[in-house]
Amino acid sequence: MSSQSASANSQFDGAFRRFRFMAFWAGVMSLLLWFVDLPIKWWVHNDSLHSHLVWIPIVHGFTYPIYVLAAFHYCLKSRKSFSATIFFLLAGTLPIASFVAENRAAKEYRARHEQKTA
Amino acid sequence: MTTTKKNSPLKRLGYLLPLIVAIGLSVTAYELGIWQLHRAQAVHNAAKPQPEKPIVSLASVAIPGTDLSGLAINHLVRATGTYTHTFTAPNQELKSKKEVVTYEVRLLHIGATAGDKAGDILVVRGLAGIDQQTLTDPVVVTGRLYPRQPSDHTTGSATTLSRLDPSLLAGLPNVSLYDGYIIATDEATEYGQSISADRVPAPQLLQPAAGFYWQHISYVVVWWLLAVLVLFLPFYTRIRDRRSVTATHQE
Repeated sequence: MSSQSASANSQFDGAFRRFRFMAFWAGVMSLLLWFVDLPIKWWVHNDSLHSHLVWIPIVHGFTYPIYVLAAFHYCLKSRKSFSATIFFLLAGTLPIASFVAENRAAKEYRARHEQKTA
Repeated sequence: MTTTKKNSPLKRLGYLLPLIVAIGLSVTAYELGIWQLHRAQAVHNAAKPQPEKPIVSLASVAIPGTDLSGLAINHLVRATGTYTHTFTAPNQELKSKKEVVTYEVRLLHIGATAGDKAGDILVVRGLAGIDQQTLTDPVVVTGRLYPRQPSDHTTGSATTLSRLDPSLLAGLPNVSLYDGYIIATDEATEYGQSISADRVPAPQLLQPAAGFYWQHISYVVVWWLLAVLVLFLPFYTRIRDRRSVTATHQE
């Protein structure tokens, strides 16, 4: 294996790991946003309770760009198509879509490794 | 043959379609960023005290039996009527003094006037005292209009309001309730004689905006980042395809 190809593989592994971590993070933050923060804000109408949850949308908002960058980098490294890249970028906006994207990426990663070892 | 295939309309469409989709998505993401920016500005402005508007009659900004509009909140209003019921509202937070107090609250019945329906509104007269003044004559109340409180501060009873919310009084006979409540800054008889009371501050209601402002700004960053990346994508994929074709030829 040439040093160029080893470097490309290591870059791909790094991009996958970063994407995987951020996909979990964005998924958990989306779940908190959709199923804790928003219902309490719009249905419970309890200002004092909601004041304890202000951090959820702020943390979600400021960490989502990191997810977007991680997803974009992973898509470039894995040579994803245009539509697949759009899906990966937008997956962080819906509660479980980022888990679906992570699962898909993990399958591809395993297949790639199996192919390499074969 | 390769040249014919390269220039075929289908091939061109294959390159153009992602570009059109990317421009569409990018413009959408940019507009969503603008929308979030406007929301951030609105939240920022709501957190700042607004210049006081002239005192208006309660009937000109509110209608009994309907929800208080956002524009009516914080208005300085005047209403003339007679007090019909007296309550206390414990555990009310005085924001300026950071202490918890009990308010004296009365229900003001406003008679029908030309063009305006009769109605009843809760008036916070001030701090609850040991002796309650007997006020049977018509009173001219001036104060600030606030939206109803959403959550209980205590357990309610016939004379204790768990929160400042007229819906708690919906069971009273012959009342037509205004939404929200007034914190009185001044009371006078219909002859202009001032009525004293241990008044509470009636500051403008400001939104606790700091956190929400930064939330909207973060979404502006996200949408505009997406707009740039999506727009870059079709060009990148084309460059990548060209490179791989060149590499294949070289091999």
